[in-house]
Amino acid sequence: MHSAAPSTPPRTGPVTVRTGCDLQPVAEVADAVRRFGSRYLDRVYTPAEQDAWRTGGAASLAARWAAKEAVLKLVGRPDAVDPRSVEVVRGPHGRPGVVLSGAAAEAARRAGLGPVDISLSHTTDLAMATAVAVSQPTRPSSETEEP
Amino acid sequence: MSSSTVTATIRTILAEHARLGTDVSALSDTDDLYAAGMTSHASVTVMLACEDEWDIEFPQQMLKKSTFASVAAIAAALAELGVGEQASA
Repeated sequence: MHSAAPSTPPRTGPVTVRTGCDLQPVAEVADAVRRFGSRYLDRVYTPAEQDAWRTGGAASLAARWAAKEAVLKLVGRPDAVDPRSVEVVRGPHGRPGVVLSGAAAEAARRAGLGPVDISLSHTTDLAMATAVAVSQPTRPSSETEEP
Repeated sequence: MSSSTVTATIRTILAEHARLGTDVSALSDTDDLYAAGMTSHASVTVMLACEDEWDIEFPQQMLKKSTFASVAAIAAALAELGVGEQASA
């Protein structure tokens, strides 16, 4: 399927859909919490995400880890990225959303990505996430490329 | 602590936390741990176990995939943080 011809904003490349996905065993997350406690939680999850863990347990955290990985795959896996720079939030009607900051946000910007949508699911054993965004590279208007 | 002791301890940590698909003793110091089955999540727990073992903290700029890609890479990162003296020839 080909994208429609551009009608509004000028762009430098074709519109493409990018996806990322990840699968995370719940037991591994539960074990990490048990072994490393707040050090693990604080290095990986934002305070709001940790609140979700307190109500949803390890499966909830595992889904959030999967979402972080899915989004990082989507944006091109920048190096040395803080996992907290991909924060899973609760959107309207309880639907999860994602807020990017730091290196993750910068990678998304460089990739010309629009808003990132995510979907999470889990059983007692496995958590999974998919992330989707439209990439529409645009000509940089306020930045210069290194020669 | 000698570099060989550091390497042995890294292997013990990997055996406990890396969830490799193969026996860590079958891997060389330079074999790719991700190719051997270590996931990104497992690399976080390996990092935390190293921090516990040597009472250190990996700075954010070292928290990249390549830092934990092999036994040798982990040993090099630890050396940067002052863990283990590199054996002199």
